Amino acid sequence: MNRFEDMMEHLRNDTDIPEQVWTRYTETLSGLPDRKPDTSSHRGLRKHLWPAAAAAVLALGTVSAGAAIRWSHGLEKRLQVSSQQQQEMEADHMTAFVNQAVTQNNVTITARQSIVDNYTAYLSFEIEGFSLKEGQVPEFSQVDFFAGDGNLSCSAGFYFDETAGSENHSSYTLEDGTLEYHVIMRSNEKGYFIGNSIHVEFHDLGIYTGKTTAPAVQTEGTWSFDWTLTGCDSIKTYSLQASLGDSNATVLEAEISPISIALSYDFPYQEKMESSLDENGEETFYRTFQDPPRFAGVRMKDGTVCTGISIMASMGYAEDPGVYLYSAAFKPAIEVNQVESLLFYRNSPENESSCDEENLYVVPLEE
Amino acid sequence: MNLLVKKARKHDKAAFQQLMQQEGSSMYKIARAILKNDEDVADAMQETALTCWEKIHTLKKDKYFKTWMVRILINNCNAICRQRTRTVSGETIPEASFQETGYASVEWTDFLNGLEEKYRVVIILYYVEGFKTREIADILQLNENTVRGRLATARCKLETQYRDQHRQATTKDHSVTIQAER
Repeated sequence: MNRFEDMMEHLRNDTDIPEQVWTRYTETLSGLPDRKPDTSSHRGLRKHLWPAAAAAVLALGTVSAGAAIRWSHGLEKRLQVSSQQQQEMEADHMTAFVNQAVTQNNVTITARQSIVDNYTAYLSFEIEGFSLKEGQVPEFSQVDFFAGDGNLSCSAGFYFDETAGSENHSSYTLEDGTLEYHVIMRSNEKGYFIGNSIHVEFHDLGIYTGKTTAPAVQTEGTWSFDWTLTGCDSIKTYSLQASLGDSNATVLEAEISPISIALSYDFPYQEKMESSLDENGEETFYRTFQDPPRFAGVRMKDGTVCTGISIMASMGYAEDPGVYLYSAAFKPAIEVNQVESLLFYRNSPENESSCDEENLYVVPLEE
Repeated sequence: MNLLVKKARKHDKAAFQQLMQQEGSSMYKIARAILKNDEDVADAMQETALTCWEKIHTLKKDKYFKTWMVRILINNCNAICRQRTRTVSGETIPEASFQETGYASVEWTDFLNGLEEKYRVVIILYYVEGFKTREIADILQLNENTVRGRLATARCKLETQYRDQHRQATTKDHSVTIQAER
């Protein structure tokens, strides 16, 4: 239809705008309000499924040594580690008992324990001398931690024991009357944490009010800690070269430790558009990339299927645009030697904690 | 244009003004495909300029500025349409004729009159503004196949209109000839 093309060409070349429309439009442009530059960070090629906590370097504090060597009650329960696993982690030096204590205004905070591998660091702090009533939520006015200039994902907060709680104690208070504060850090850089210095600083302990950003401070003070992280860089590596059905993805390699997993896929980079709502509820859209089937969990040698065990996942492309990387921390910890297969979602289910095997790709791990 | 977008994202007002002036013609054509009069088009363009200035820091990549801007423009046009829609005696007022201003070709305007808004928009976005079907799908939040379908349907309708108009013109000429021979 030549005439149609002619019309289209005519319309393309037609730049006339009625004067009344143009005048109003240019007046609006002339009267734009001044704006300050936005300081939000640019979205890179990595996606994170866990919000990052703030981290900043502050002045060093004073510490004193003390306390017996024992596992953090919260870490033990959080990671569901058996006695044997505890012994193995100690033997491998994956876990270290820091036992640095600082006392301010009758409240003692002890850096109790760290569990560190190539990609993940779990830290546990014990708080003594602070009482909570039933239903109260503890909170520091500020917590700062610094572990180098790398790109880290962090999650931190008071440990909440869902099985605890009595008439006189909140579930934040453990059986021995103490509280625990946990920090989980993740890095995509292999071996980042091992041998790296860590600085943690707590300010003013109080009760969460729910109404303001600051807690109702009950104990003023600054508790500072500095030490060098130790950990275990030995990790089980599996060369898989396993294609995931018709997804066009191949799992190349898996690195697995009791507390984390790192996967590499052969998956060609494919752009896609996604939309999101900004803070005013207006829709914006942006370019992102297609993801291969996501890691779902593991099947153990005894047949147990464990899904929904990965937290703080990070995914995206390395410098090589054809290699897609996925890494995540485990919660609970797993017994690596007992893992029979890795599982991947065929489709992304709404509830990732349970998934029928028929909806999973299964990749056996061969010794 | 990418340089202007880059500057505009850093809240360089002069760059943003220049950028939006360059896009004025495109904005007018797209808004006219949806709205029925120039006053509404001016409203939509003003609102879009303000929104873009307010939100330009949310733009993820420079090269998708136009796609992003058009999406905002169409949202504003649709909002104005919703405000203008009303019923009289229980019936919906049919879509008014496409007015002539801004399109130099009367014949082309007649053709556009024959299309529903959803077809006009994809025709303008695809053939006039040069967006790909995938981009149009993103802008209009439609499935890409739907966009292709609407383009195909719009072209069929336009071809039918052109054929019908051409046939009528030929028939009239023939009648005149016959009369003349008498």
